Amino acid sequence: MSLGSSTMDPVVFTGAMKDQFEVFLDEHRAMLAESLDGLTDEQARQRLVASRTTLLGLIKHATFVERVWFDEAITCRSRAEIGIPDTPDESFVLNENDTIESVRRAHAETCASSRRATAQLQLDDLVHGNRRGPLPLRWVYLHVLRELAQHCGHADILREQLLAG
Amino acid sequence: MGFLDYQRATLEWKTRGLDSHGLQAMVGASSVTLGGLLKHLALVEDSWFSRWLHGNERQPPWNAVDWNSDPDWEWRTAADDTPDQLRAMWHDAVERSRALVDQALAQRGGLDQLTQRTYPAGGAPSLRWVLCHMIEEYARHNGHADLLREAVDGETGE
Repeated sequence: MSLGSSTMDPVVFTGAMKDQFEVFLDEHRAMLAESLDGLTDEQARQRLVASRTTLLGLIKHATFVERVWFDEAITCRSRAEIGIPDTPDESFVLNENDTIESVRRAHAETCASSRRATAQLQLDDLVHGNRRGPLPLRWVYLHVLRELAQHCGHADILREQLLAG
Repeated sequence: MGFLDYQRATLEWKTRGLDSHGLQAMVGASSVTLGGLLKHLALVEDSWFSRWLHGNERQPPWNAVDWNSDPDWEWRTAADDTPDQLRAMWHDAVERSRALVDQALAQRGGLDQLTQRTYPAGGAPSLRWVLCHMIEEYARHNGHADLLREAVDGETGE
């Protein structure tokens, strides 16, 4: 990638649209991973709201989102084949052996394969592996950006509660 | 633009039907409220689509605030506004933004056009960047709104 690492970097302002999307996504991927900084595994597993969401579960879900859009949608492989749950709800569930370290490592590896998967594609290329039908890559980028940013918002509040608690 | 409007609609839905008590509710340690979100995003709309895109000065009430001494003014003062005032303020800001984007597209070309305001160090974002940033900004705040609304009355979803 030729652009800067922050969306506020002036190089990004006028960069090619596809590079711009990648920087926007990377910034949110990093913010999600960093939301676990300095926490204990116990804190990261703590349930703070009525729904199932935990900070660690949120990063697991973000990893699932990467797989759904940058593996399943592009390669048309099945979720079983990819090794991810059938439903988003299940992707939040924590196993006993999930730790901040293991969940972050899986997230980082998955983000790296997402980048490889989109490297050869153009914005108008259609992906065919999503239940919504054929979608151009630009739509997928916007959708994933929206989704990751919303989860960053969840992470903001959960982390704030953990640090105050 | 469709993505941005979906985010705006989500915020409208997350704040719908709540009285001032609901709009002032906080989650845990956070000082973020749903009313504060409406006021903050009204400011953000003015900031990007008027001040940056067209190089305008800030619109009322934002132009009367001393942002250096009170950087969180919109969050702090949202509790003094009624729900109707907050919704109207945000709604008007969105309407104005839509007109300003249409105007920019009609007068100065497509999404690659740069904003009229530039950074002190030089450089200006493209309209495309602004739209992308706004989608991401709304989505993140809608993430806050999800948990706030869930805490107020248990409502979840999109």
